[in-house]
Amino acid sequence: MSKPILEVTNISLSRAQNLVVRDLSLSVSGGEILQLSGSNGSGKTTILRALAGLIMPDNGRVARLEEKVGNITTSSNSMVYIGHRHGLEENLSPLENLNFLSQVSTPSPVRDGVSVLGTLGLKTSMHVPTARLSAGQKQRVSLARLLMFDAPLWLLDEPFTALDTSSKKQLENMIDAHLDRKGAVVLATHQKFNCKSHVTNYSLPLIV
Amino acid sequence: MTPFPRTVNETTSRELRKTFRNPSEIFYPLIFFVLVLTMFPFAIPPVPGLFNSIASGIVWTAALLAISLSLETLFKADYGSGALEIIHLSGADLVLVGIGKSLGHWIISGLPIALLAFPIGWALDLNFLTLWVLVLTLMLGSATMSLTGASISALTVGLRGGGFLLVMLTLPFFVPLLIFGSSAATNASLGIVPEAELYFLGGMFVLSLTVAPWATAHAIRIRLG
Repeated sequence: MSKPILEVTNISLSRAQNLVVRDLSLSVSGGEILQLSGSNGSGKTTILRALAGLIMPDNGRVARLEEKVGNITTSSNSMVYIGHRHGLEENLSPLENLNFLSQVSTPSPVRDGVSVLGTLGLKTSMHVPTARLSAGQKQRVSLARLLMFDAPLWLLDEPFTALDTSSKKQLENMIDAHLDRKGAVVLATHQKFNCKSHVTNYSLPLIV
Repeated sequence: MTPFPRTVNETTSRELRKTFRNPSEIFYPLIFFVLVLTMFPFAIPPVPGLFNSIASGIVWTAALLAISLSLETLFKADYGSGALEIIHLSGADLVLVGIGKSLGHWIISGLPIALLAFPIGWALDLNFLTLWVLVLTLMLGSATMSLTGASISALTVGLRGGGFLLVMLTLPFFVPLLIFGSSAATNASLGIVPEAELYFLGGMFVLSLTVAPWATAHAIRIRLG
């Protein structure tokens, strides 16, 4: 049994002063994928944001392994979070957006913007202002961060939204490759997806 | 090559690039500044010497309001798109991001306003020495406003009524700049060396450069948390 990449102990989370998650404990190790499921408002996004460190839990602890994991080449940042919002400046091109991130991030990414955008089939639109791209293309630019930073933990919030069939397949392959390299994935999605590894499902109760 | 750290450089050039692709953001504060100064002479009585004695105060007030209005957009787009979140999670030094944002804001608002003050002040019949002092005080004052304003802009971004709150919170910081900036120019027009005012403005700039970027970084963390 490998050491967990992510360990969550008894966390409670609130959204706008309302408790949405009570005493949640989970752990994800290298090569594992955890799917958060539950109805709208059950706290999937809130949990992912807490795992990313964007929300402090009311109580409990979120621990992320920061060291080198499995055969992943570098520890880089310990995780990459892909949220609902694409996080792109609309007046800049996808490449400018990624180049900026690669210049300011610590530590630096392992792949450059040109190569990851090429891999994701965005070679022809990498210099176009992001505002002119479709929702699916923007989502793919956002997913490019997964390839840029070789982080052991991927936190994905509805990653298949707006993706066409071939892009969805490509993301599934990326997830498989990541798990093969002993990376871990936590994702929240309502869509069906195919994955070589066994997907652990965590169903969230609705607390109102 | 510039003397600034890479994060400051990159953040500033990102700010400039995105603003130049959507130039209305630059022009609104400048147009506001020019319009106020063009309208004002029509609103005061034609008493000889009156306008000349209050001109630098009016230029300073118009500059302060124009810069205050432009501060709201500093973090708005990045907060709304989730880019600020990603910058934060990427491990970027938020203090340097704050300096880069402030520098970018100053280049597109404070600097052109200070430079525009020269021809406008000349048209308002200010003498040469007064014009120089006016431009210098505006440069120092606007840089201080960009630095302190960035921290309050980060703190109020995304809040309901954040724009109003931003103006209310920045004004107490900006009023001393207005007092010393305009009195420096007025003193210069009366032939008094405005040494003390310039030292004060220089001191305020150094103080804001030392404190404000850390406050901005902290404010970003608070708003994202």
